Amino acid sequence: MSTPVGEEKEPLLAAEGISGHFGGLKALNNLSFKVQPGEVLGLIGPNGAGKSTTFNVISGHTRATRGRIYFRGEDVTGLRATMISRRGFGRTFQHSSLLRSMSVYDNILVGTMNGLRDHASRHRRVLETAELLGLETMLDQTAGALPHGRQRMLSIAIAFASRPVLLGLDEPLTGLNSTESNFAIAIIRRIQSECGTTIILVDHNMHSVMGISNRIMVLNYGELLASGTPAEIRANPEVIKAYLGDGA
Amino acid sequence: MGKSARKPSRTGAYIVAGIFAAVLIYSVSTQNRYGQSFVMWIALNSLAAACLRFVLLIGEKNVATAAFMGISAYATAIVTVNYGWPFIASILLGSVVAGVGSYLFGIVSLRIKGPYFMLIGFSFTALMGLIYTKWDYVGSNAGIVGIYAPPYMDGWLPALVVTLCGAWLLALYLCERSSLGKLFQAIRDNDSLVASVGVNIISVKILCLVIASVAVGFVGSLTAFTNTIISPPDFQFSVAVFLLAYVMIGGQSHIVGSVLGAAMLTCLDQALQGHSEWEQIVFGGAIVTSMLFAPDGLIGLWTRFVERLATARWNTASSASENHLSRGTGVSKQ
Repeated sequence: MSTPVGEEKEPLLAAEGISGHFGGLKALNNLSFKVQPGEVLGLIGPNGAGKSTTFNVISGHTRATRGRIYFRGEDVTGLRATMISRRGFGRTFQHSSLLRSMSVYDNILVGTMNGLRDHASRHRRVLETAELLGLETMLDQTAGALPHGRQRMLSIAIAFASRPVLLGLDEPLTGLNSTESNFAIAIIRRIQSECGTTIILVDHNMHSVMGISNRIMVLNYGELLASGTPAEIRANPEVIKAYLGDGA
Repeated sequence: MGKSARKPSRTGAYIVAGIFAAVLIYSVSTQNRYGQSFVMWIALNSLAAACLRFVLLIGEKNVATAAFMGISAYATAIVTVNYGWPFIASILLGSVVAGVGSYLFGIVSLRIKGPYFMLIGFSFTALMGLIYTKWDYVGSNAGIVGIYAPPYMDGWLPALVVTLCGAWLLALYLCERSSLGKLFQAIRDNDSLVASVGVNIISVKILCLVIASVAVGFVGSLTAFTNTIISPPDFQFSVAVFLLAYVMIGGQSHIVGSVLGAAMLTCLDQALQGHSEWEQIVFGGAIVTSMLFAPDGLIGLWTRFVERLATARWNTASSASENHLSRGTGVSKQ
């Protein structure tokens, strides 16, 4: 771990009382949290808990109806996703979001367009990113023809190619078999430890999220149910109740 | 390690360069006026189609191509006929006006996409047509006549047109293969992904439109000089439909497709001269036939032919190698 977690310092990202409504549906309700530099924050919760909405709101893909968002000390509330991304927030999407008809190389190349200006630097960055994500032997292949697990890795490669300070991974392990899942977890750990990138991770796979994260936030019905270390969350009766029901 | 899934073929480049050289030599050497005009029409139609295809890289059908062609043609004609501007300056002005016009058009229209963008392009083309028709300063329905190239261009205009169109086609091709070109295609494939990596997609789309419009501005300006007369019907919506047909029939996967489509349909158009009642039917039939039997256009047919040829060669080589091995080891096929 490059940065001690839990220490009081300027948070990388802070959400203060954010709410999100879709028509009459309240997807997020007065949610506040902070993300410290260097940590891996796991965001879990049952279906419809508001995990992806939280993700979309903090990355600028959806506007919060209330509350404020601060990223690297700057108020980014209401900024478009492009502007937040330029400030160093890279993200992946729930479903593999790729340029399916283009090569793996070109997919990662597009990820480098934010920030790098000259061709040589971009080329170098593409090769480094591909190597980090285990895609270096597939650069000529068409993205849409890759196996599902590799497509997931490519999604991360595109988001990570610009070397964001905060990387949001929306369900990166969904649909992966155990080998692919272990490979993806190793890659995520490597990104965090070697590059010092702060990571927010949303996933259904409790076991994997607990294994990777320094801190877990549990959402339920758009509200924060619990927050703490993986061990604290495992022992939290409210979390058990939310996941397993009253009979647990 | 390659950088792209599809690499340019060197043989293809030699073929294209050879055809270009032959056309250029013909345009300089021939004294046949019709032949000269014919070569210029093909060159101008090819570049105009390539410009329309260039905006297809960002996934948009830019039917306003006809409008920008008209804007540049009228700008060139006005400064040449009314103010006596030099030949080169008037051509450059036409392109700049088309570029500026497309920039303003793009700011307004490229925030929306797909059929809505096409509809705005259609409306803009119709509006420009109305302006040419109703405004006396630009000649109303009669248009502008007497747009002559200077005497020193006598006999050289076809070569200039072919060279400029060739240079623009090469520039568009290189731009398409550059990082910027990849970005255009990425926007077409998944614009929300491109926005999520911090790229301002509206600016990039506008840039694409402006590059294509500056190029099509050259087509408009040169059309004014090659025809010596321009009028509103030369730049109406149907022109964009023809350009789209050139691209679809030639194949939109490669810029050469636009040239092939333009050359083929321009030839067809000339063959049908004097049978105007058949023109629309034959053109429509050609488009439908192409869509049904060659959805990737002529360039798709060529690609398939080359692939089959390569497979056949590979099969022949493998069986020869197998035979050689079996003879060498004394093992016969059962």
